Amino acid sequence: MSFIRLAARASALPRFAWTAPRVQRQLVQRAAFSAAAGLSRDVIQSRVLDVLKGFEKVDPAKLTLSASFSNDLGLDSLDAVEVVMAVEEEFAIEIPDAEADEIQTVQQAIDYIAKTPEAH
Amino acid sequence: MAILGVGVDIVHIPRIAALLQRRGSRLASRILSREELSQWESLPPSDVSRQVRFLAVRWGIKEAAYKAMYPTVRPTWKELAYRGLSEGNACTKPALVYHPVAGTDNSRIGPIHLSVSHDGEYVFASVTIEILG
Repeated sequence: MSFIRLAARASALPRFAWTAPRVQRQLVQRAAFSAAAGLSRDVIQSRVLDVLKGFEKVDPAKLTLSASFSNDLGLDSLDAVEVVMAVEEEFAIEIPDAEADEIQTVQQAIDYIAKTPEAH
Repeated sequence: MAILGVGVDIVHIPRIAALLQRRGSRLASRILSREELSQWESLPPSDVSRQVRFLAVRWGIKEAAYKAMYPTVRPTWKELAYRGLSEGNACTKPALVYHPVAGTDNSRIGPIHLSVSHDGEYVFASVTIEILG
């Protein structure tokens, strides 16, 4: 649960439009060791960033690896829970509660996937 | 009576509805305690607005409870269980039960008081917690 809820609740309209990713996934050839099944760090990174770009509320200009969901991206706790669900869907895994609660930045999401062999 | 903390939360119900539509019942399995989850599973599948309200109320109460407890303890979703008016004796108030996982120091968490209000698209929850010792 996130304590800080910075985001304004402005609109009754759906918050997320599932637009096509604005940046094509860059499949980098460089080999990288990771526990996730055959996924290189770069692939994980670009897929997690793409998940975030799918959220209408996320300003792509503010989207960096170190970005915090609440402080930098303006997401509130409900948004952050949905981001983690979207990451789960993207990598076909279910993240245990305690670990899901800890994922509050882009980097933490990437790190979790990188150490999860079931992610694919 | 000393107060450990007060927390409030306001939930825009259509957000919960949209999330349920996009992600299915993952939100339920993520935030509901075991007893809440069994109530959730007994809700009529056709009554989507009731499902949405069920989740919205529990989301709001648990957020409010987190704010009231923080930073003495940082409860997780499933450690908190809401018992509404319709579940049990009609002459009691709604209640929030805190069941911390083993190892949590909850010695300062006293009685929990809560109130929930609805108007149109919004649920508002308020939680006040007494301090022990």
